[in-house]
Amino acid sequence: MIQDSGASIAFRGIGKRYGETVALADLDLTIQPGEFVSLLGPSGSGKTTTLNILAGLISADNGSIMIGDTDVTHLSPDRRGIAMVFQNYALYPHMTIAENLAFPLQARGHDLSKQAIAAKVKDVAETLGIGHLLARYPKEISGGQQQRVALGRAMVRDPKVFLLDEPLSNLDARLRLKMRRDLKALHQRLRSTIVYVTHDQSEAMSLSDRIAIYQGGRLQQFGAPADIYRKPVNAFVANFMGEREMNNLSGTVVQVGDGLVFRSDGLNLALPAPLNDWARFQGRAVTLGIRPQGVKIGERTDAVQCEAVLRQVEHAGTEQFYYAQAGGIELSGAAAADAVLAIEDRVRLSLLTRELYLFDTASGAALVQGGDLAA
Amino acid sequence: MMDGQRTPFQAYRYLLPALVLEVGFVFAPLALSLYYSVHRVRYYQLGDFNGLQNYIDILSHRLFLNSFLVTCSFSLMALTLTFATGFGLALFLNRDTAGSILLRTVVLLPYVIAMLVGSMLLKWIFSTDAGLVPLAAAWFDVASPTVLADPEYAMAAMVANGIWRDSAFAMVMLLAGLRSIPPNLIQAARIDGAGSYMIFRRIILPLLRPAILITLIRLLLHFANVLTFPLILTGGGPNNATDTLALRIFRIGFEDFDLGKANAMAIVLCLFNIAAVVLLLAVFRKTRGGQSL
Repeated sequence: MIQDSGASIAFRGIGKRYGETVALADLDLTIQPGEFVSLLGPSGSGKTTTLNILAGLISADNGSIMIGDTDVTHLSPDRRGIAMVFQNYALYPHMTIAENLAFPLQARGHDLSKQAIAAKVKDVAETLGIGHLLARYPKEISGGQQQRVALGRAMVRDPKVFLLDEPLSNLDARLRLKMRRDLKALHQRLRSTIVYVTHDQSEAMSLSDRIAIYQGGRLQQFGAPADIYRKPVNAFVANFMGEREMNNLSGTVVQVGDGLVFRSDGLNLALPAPLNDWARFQGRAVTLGIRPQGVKIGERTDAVQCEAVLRQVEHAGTEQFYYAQAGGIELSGAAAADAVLAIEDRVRLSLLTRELYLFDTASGAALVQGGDLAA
Repeated sequence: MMDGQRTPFQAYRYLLPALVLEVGFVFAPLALSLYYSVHRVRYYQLGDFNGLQNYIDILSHRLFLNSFLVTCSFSLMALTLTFATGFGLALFLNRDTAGSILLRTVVLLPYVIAMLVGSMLLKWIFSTDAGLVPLAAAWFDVASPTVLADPEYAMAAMVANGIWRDSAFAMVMLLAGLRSIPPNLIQAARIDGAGSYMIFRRIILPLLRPAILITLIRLLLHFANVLTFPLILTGGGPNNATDTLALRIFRIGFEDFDLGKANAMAIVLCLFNIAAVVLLLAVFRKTRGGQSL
């Protein structure tokens, strides 16, 4: 049974500063009912501030917040219809798991009978597979189990909105992957709105309907994971998304004879004819970006070519990554796992044009996204 | 690799400094006290073994019961009021605003003044001739009570001395306890819908148990054994209304120079302390839930 039980969330011009430091600048963000949205960014980027303001744990200096049809800007946390899972779980150490789960039900004058509370607690515990732990204390169970209890304590009130603050960061890598799947399944069943704070781009990509990516207190881009990965609005977003940074080559576009050349530090890249409209970027300091996956060994059509020497090779299971010296520049690329790569080999590299990005060096704004001119 | 080898002897070597201190300053004096308490000791001269005679003498003395009751009632009143005041201050000043920091310092002042000086200060405040109490009474145009000459006022003055000085100690201990509660737990409880009272009852109070217990034990031992307050402030009077066990030990030992009896009384007081702590621990154990304390 799928029902839409989430609430929409709207930030309107929300700002927060601490003295001179801008923690959050004029945030406008609208989240649809039942949506799973990640707030992604490095530490100090404003994502946690956004979450705390939404929770009501800190108050904004300006702007307003709507949850559903209610203006919650000045409401206390308990009156916002939200539940939160903290990074360190914040389980009450002196209460059993059952008491932890029951706490929110006893708190808000629900007027629930003891039996009703016990039934609800049992129900949630069974859902999360922690039914056998009810009599234990938090310190007696594993990290993954504590994580489930924290989730359960949030679920027990059937909130319209879940706030999750880096809930998986204290788990080991394998368990994190499992909990990711469980979270996604849980969201698909509950259809509540989930706001999820993380600094892990792969977590955000795999879980979210949409990602809001932050830097320096500002929202940089808000969109579906594939769109953000494919069409980053600036160099920061482009480099933050993806397992590895892009290759970033700063230089200029210049006309040489009939064709265009991208001139970088000790490396001239002849641009093929399909990129003739890059002529408009002449005379401007630009940065050419390409993900390692767009750099191929050997001659390819629709590619920028250059000669290079292999310097280093890393095996990564399904593929290999290599670093190659081209002129004064080091390029990183990806190759199939079974490719034979020998260090000090001379190779011809192809930078696929549909994987090329161009950024304004000064502002970082994207000029070309994946071969296409930015809108 | 031969390093990292540990023998039991090495373990004792590490323990030795602490053991020396413990034996030198706790067990040896206690043993000596026990030894003296079963001998006649007059004017620092160790006399004959006289069994339990010292104990019989002090326990059957007409003022012993009075001292015992005075000690009990003083300890209970001072403990309750000091703890309550300290707890209130800790909750009130558990913020880092400039005002709170200043006020914490002010509250701490009486505690860093030597106990002797502090008690003399209060004695002056309460004195009939030149004190602050008669001045204040005159200001309000009421009859000045002769604080230290009235049995009930004298006891109250002693309790006040305890509160004035030792609330600071309770405050510091409880503040440290409050600070050790992760702020996340309070935030989580707020989001879970708990009001201030529920957060205090269900989160803060249970997590503060260790700090509360330690504070209560330290205060109780301090009050049950305090000598300076009655010695300086009231001299045990009027009419033995503030004559505590500690004061009697002092009098018997260093005014009557009967160290045998004084040591017997000290042993009795020590047993009284142990009983009080055991009682406190029992009360705490009864109400614990899932905690080590």
